[in-house]
Amino acid sequence: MKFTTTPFQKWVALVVFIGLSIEAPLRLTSAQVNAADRVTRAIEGRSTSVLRGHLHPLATAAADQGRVGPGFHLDRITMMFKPTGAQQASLATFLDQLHNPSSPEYQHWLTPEQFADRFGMGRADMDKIVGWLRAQGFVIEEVAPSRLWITFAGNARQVESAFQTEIHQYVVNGTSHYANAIEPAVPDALADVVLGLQSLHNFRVKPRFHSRKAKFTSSITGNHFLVPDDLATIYDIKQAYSTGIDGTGGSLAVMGQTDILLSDIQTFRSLSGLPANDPSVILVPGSDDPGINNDDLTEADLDLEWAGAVAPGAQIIYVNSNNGVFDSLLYAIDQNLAPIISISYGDCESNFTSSDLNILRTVTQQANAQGITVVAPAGDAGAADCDGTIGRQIARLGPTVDVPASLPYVTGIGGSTLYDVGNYWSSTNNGKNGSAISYIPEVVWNDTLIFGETGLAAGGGGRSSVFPKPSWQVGRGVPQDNARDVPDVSLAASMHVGYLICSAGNCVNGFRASDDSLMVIGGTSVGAPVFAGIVALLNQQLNSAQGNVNPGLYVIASTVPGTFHDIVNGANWLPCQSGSPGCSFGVIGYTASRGYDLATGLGSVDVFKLLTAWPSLLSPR
Amino acid sequence: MRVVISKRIFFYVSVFLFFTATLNPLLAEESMLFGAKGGVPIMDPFTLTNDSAIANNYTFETKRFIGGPFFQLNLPLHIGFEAGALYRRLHYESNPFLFDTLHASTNANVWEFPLMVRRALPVPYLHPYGGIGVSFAHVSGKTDFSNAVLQSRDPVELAKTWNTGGLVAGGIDIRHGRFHYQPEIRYTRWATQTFVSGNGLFNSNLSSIDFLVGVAFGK
Repeated sequence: MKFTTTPFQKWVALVVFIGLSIEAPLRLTSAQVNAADRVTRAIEGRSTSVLRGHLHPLATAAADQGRVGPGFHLDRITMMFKPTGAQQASLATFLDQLHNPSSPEYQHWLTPEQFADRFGMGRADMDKIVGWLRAQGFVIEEVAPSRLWITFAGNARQVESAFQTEIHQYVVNGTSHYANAIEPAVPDALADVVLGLQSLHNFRVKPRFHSRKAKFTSSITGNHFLVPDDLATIYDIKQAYSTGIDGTGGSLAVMGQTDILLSDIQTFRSLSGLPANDPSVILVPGSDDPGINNDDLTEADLDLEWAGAVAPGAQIIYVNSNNGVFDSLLYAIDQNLAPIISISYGDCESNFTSSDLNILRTVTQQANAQGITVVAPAGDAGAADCDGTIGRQIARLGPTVDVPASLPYVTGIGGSTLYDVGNYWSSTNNGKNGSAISYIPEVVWNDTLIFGETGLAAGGGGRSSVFPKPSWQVGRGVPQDNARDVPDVSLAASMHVGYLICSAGNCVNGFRASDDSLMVIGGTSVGAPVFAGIVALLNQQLNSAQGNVNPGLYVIASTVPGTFHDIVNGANWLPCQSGSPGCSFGVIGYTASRGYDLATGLGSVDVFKLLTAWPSLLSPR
Repeated sequence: MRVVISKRIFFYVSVFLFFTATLNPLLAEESMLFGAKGGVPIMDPFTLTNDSAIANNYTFETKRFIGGPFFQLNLPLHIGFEAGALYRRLHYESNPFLFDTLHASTNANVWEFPLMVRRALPVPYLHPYGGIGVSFAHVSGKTDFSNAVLQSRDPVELAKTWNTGGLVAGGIDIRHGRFHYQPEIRYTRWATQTFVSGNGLFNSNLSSIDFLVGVAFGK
């Protein structure tokens, strides 16, 4: 049978073809936008929905000093958006695949823009929300490339009007803060898309370090302190250096909330025999210059110096914000600044609003999806993290763990004490001021019980009451508690053999200050940048980012146990008030044992063995 | 009125009546002994494992005394049944953090409740016997610390407070009038370790061998 077509039919066919050619891609784009088009009504303030979980636990009526003035300025307020249920499920699956060597998605890291297309808000929605915020009088400071958040600034009157809340002044432990006194609300049109608002308060998380100005003369008393060369000996990093692995070509970002003095870092590196390699400093756009805060300066210096000490060839990026270290964190993740982030700040879980926890969960998921490893300290008050935050000497508030370390997307670093009774030190320092001879056995960090330090000073650890157990957290000793357990690994944290740092210009005579004192640091704050440096070595060894390293750590602990120094002696017990939650026989905490334990996690790391074991076990099969 | 007896109860009653009827003539020849046993453990109550990677921070001493009451029911055919209680005290020391700045001293009490079936051989004067049975043990203890911050507490190494084991024993029964003198060697194999240290180096011994001398009075 033969078909014939008339000229008219040919014209119709041509028009239909052209029409379909034009319409098809339009239809596809429309489908994508529609799929993400979640703000379907006009954003109006007439009908609102309350955002629960925004009242800071420390913003109590007793501390309330009244409402701030209408012109009070709030900087870098962040409106965080929640992925849809389907996006969340897809993200969870994707994160598993990213870290599963058998998956075709293994280590297929996303850019923030790719993350936005899969898990972020639609562009049209973002435009509508930006328009609404502008209409409320806010200045838009940043629209995240991940399309997960918008940062804006405004005054108290604008905040109170737009979010139907009140901003009050609070005085807590002698320090003045501001915070929202009632839960904020958003227009109904945004109720299903807003995860939370960050920076409606300025309660900041605390640095996790202990410091001491040591007056004693080490050559006379026999006290020892750690310099980079010592750490490289103790944790078997020197073998990595000898094969050319020193972090060169990689980068890591340190989160901060203070200005620094570059001369401190330069002096430290010079005294430690490290090559000159200044960190680059980024002030989060839109943030005021925070100036120098002494506690934060010490933290920033130790982070920058010791991260750079372990990975001397890596580029260290210091991210600074006047709006707190979590603002730095958001920025570093969303700008994909580096494949490793070290954040040595934290607070106990119950001191976070549920909104803040949701936000941190979402951004650290994003970090992992982009291949970023996030490292944080597990806290310095054993199992009594909340008591440690407020400087109690006896725990009363029960067992809690530290955020962000307790996030499953973060590697939590606990603390150990070097048991250096024996022949572990050379009688003289080498050219890099080092004197450690070999690995030194470790016990649980507990300066309170071992050395009688006043206050709570022990390695943080315990069970999260917020985050469930991640699928990768398995192995010998891991409790069957359906909770995310911390820490993951531990590193030296005791002041018994503390870390030397240079800060605020103190190193004028070698590591000594003008009064001959040394600045000695302990705490899990040091472990975080040290481990971040170790991950930088791993990244160089593998020539790729690793994202969440926890799945790999637990696999290796089970299959190549010699990679870890299992810390089996001691406990992070701390004195507690009789009858308080978790207090048993006058102490609260956990003992070390073979395998994983809640005092030291998997133990400390033999770095060279880790670098050797990782590729063979985790490379794609 | 109709009384309903279940099949199960009927079965148990029948079994009871059967054994009572069968054993009653034998039990008529029974004799009972009451006395006490005392002695010394031959094996240490704890084991220390050498591990070059982990410093040992435990020491212990073997308390050289065990003792307690027992009774013995002698049945025909040289068979006997023995039950009793044995007390032993344990002690160990440790530096939980290795450093000698914090010292821990632990005392523990163990009560064992052996149940044994024994069979004597018809040898004059010595009356050798062998036995087999089970033993139940209850352990309690207390650790004191050199640091006043730490209160006395249950030993952290005490993983289980109850234990069970199988035992075998052999000895002789020297009779002098109504008195019986029974030197005996007893081996008990415990099912689990009651003490387990976190570092895995210090554990309770699964085996115990004791030399006991029983002194009993009876027919």
